[in-house]
Amino acid sequence: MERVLDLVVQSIDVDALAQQVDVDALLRQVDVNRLVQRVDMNAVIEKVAVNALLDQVDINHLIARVDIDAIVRQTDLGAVVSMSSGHVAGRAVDIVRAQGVELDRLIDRWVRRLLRRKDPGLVAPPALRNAEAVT
Amino acid sequence: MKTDTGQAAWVDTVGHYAGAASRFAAYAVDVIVSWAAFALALAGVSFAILIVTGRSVSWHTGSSISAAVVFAVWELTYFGYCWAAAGRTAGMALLGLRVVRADGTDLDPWRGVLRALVFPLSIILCGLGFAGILVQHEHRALHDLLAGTAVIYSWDAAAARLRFAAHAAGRPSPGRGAASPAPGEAVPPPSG
Repeated sequence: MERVLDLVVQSIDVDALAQQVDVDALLRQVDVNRLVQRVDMNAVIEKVAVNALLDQVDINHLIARVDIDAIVRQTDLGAVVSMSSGHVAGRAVDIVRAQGVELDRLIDRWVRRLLRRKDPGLVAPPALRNAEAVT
Repeated sequence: MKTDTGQAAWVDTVGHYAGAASRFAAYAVDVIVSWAAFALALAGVSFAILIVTGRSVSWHTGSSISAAVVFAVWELTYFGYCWAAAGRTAGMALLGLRVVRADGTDLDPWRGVLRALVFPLSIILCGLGFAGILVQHEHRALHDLLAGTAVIYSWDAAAARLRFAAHAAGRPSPGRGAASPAPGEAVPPPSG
């Protein structure tokens, strides 16, 4: 009997058979909603290893792509930040610090050009460099 | 100035070696603060002597050398204590700088005191000791090299950037007018 079945199966041209099947018509008859209702989503979610999934996500890369300026502009976050942090002295300090860094970078660029340095130089001490690499 | 990602360049410099302008500005602030504190203390002492003895004391005549010595000790105490206790002076706190060990770890108190002790060497050598801040790879002055320290940017630049963005978005807190754009930030189009 098995021998007969093997012979029958071997003689069938599966590709030709598949070409004759109207897959679209078949799919149209499928009630997706009913199918989904039968799926136990909780059981599916339980099987998903969320931590393993999150480990594969580059959070820093994601955050780098976030346009903070746009978020602040389009939401009330700006008002919250202004009210929570805001006094003129604090803002003045921010400006002084930011301008100081900009000026430092400018001077550094000129000195490097003057000394004809090609290498980018060290930007941070080793411990902080390693911390940067980790985060 | 903005990076390719549209982020102000100074945000990414936290933890990096601090440059000459910030360090000089911090030092200038420290000189003013320490000098003002010393002058105040001197005035206080003079007033106390006047009250107790009834005689006024002038620090500008015969006792000027002793005043200079006391001033030198005061400066040493000011810088030494600040570096040993917090790793930063008032000027450094204002400019968002911090002294760390050469490898970037937190400063030991004794190293802070040592830095204050060798600090005058950078001045005595016609200021050449400070040249390292400009030309040395790690922006370390002579006293940094001797004490095994370095100065880094240490301030909440990310929060500052958020504050700048909030102001630039034209949402000032009550009682304040619309803000001017932040340094290194683009001016957004007016909303509404």
